[in-house]
This record gives sequence, C-alpha cells and structure tokens, in this order.
Amino acid sequence: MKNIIYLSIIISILFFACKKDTTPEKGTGDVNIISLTATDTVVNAWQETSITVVAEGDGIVYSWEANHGEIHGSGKQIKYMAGTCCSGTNTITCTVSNNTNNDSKNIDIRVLPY
Amino acid sequence: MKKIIIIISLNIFTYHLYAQCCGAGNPISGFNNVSGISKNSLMISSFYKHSYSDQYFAGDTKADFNPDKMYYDYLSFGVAYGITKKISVNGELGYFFNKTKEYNIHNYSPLKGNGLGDLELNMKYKLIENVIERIDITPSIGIKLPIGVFDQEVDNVKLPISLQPSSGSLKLNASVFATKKIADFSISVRGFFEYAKRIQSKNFDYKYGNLYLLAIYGSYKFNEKISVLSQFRYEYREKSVRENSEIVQSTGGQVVYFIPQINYVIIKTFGVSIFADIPIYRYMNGMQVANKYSVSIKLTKFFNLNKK
Repeated sequence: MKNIIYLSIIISILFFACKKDTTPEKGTGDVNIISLTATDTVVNAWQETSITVVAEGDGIVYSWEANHGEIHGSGKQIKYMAGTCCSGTNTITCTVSNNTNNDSKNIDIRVLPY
Repeated sequence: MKKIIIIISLNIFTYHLYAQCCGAGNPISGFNNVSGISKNSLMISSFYKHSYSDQYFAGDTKADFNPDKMYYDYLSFGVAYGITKKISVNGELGYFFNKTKEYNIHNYSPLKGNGLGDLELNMKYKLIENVIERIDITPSIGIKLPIGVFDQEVDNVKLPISLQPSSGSLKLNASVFATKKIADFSISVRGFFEYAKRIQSKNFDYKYGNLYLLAIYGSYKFNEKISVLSQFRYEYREKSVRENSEIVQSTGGQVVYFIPQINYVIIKTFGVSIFADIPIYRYMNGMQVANKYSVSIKLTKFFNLNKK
C-alpha cells in the first residue's frame, strides 16, 4: 500500500506542476485590428507566407492561431507554413488584446498539395 | 511463481501507434495487460518511450525532400485491477516531456510542446480460459478521453496540432486477443480497431482516420527470470477528414513493424521489459514523415490483494 501512495505523490507532482506565466503586461484603452494581410494567400505545401497585422491601441498583446499548419515567430508579423498534412483552405486567426478589450480577425490561406 | 511470470510476461504486450503527420495524442493505446489479470490483483506500471521520425515517404518510397524531423519522449503510468475472475479494468495516463519538430527549411527555430496526454480506460473480459488446451481468448473495449493539453501556446502563438500533447479527440476502441501456450512457447494474435470521433470547434473541424491493427506474437521463456518476445504488427490508418468532408490526402497509411522485446523479472513481483519498434514496411498516403524507430522501457509491479 505504501508503494501506491508514493507513486500517487510522484504522479501528482509530475502532472500538476505549476506552469510559468509568460503573458506580457497589457495596457488599457480600446484595441482594434485595422488590417490583416498576407504576402501570398495561395501557397504550395512547405512554402511560407508572411502575415502582418496592423492594430491600434495601447499595450497590445498579439496572439496567433491556425486551425491547420504552423505559425513561426510572434508579434505583429508571423510566418505561416503548412506541410502536405494540411493542404486545403486554412484559417489563421489573429487576436489583439489589452486590459480593456480584444479584437480578432481571420485570414484564409489556401495550401496546395506538394 | 510460474503464474507470476506469466502475468508479468503478458503485461508487457503493448501497442505503440506510429506518429503520423497531424496526429497528436498518446503514442500508446493503453493495453498494458492484453489478457487481463486475475481477481483482486493490482498491477502498476510505468512506461517510457522515445520515438524519432526524420524520413518522408511518398507511398512506399523514400522522398528526396525532408523538410523536418520529429521526436518525442513520453512517460506514462498505468493501473490495472482484476474485478472478477473474468473481468479486469485498466487505466493509463501519460506525460510528454517534449514533442519536438526541427526544420531543415526556412531556418525556423524548433517548435516544442509538452504536457499531459489522453487518459485511456479499458475493460477486458476473459471469454475463454481453457487450462487444459492452454488457450485464452480475451476481448476488450476501451475509451480514450482527451483530457490533456490541446491548446498549448508559446509566446501567444498556438502550437500546431501535431505537437499538442493531447489528440483533442474522443476515441473508442475494441479488440480481441488470443493466445496458445505450448510448453515454454506461446503464440498470440491480436486484432484492434479504434474509432476517432470528429472534433468540432469554432475554427477547427477534423476527424482523425480510424485505426486497424493486427499483431502476431511469439514468445519464449528461457527460465524463471528471462523471456523474449518477437512481434510483427500491421497498422492501417484511414485518411483524416476535415471541414466540408474534405479528405486530407496526405494522412493515413500502412506500416509493418518488427518489435523485438526482452523481459526480465527483477524480483518476484517486479519486472522490466525493453523493446524497440522497427518499421520494416511503410506506405504513407501522399507524402508524410514516417517513424524511423522507437525504443521503450516498461516497469511492472504486481500486487496480490488476496494476501492477508
């Protein structure tokens, strides 16, 4: 029985260890996305495209998400790329936020098979 | 003693799913003790796996373009308990220390995910246990719950699903395991099917391909301490489907693995098993990265709760 208790403690420590909070400090006042553009909206598999967001507001935090494919970099401009696993029309979402509000915008990138 | 050896030997028949592109989630399907365990017995196991994939395949041919490579290190803990003489249950939960992708193109920095994987629960029913003929047949059903990390971000950028520790998908499985023992040899066969439920969220609509496995094992017990096992396993995964029922052509495929394994009983109720997954045939739909090898170690501790 002792062994079970010890093992449970080890598992708990491993699985519920605290995660470091890396969220930057946010500002205040309204934030809005003015534009979200890509250098190419149709790309071949593994070809990259740059996506840039222009937003207004103070203390903006930029968050990025793709339903398929990969985002490299962070901030106002990122590189997007997808392999053959993710051919099709993929949606990249940019969210800008601060302590007051947030705003999101999508852009679709068509990834062709290799 | 013999009984314990057999139990521990059976406990280390494990299934390890290959890491197909865009297939997040656990590397194992959680069948720690494919033949079940006896009533009021408790089995605790710990399993570590390192897997490495660096070669792209188009069909069964190596591609001349390898844009990236992937590897992961995974540790899981499993518990199995014999409820009755015929029915046993087991659960398994694991943690990815890293799930990493390195690039040969665009000078990208590596992407790395880590965290809790899916929770696997199974129930086994010993349908036939013929002591005279030394034949066991054990069907089982199971579920894989996506309780782990599926929205991991680095610098406010969400990692691709292939690097998320959890698959994000509820999965159901069913299998049948049959074994025949002849003196110190045993021959076993297992059929396995896994259904992956469609994932639907705001910007994500995806269904992993269903998985079919057929494995044939041969094992030999040298003495009370050491046994070896050879396994040939065929895996077939269907293509994934995304929004608007669009089939993702570069997903799914077929792999045949050869899996040598050695088992050693350290003390009466405590065993260790070491094995490697070596792919000997790969057919990847479209063009995908394929697993090159994986190595695993498993520790198993058995408790007989009938003891006073």
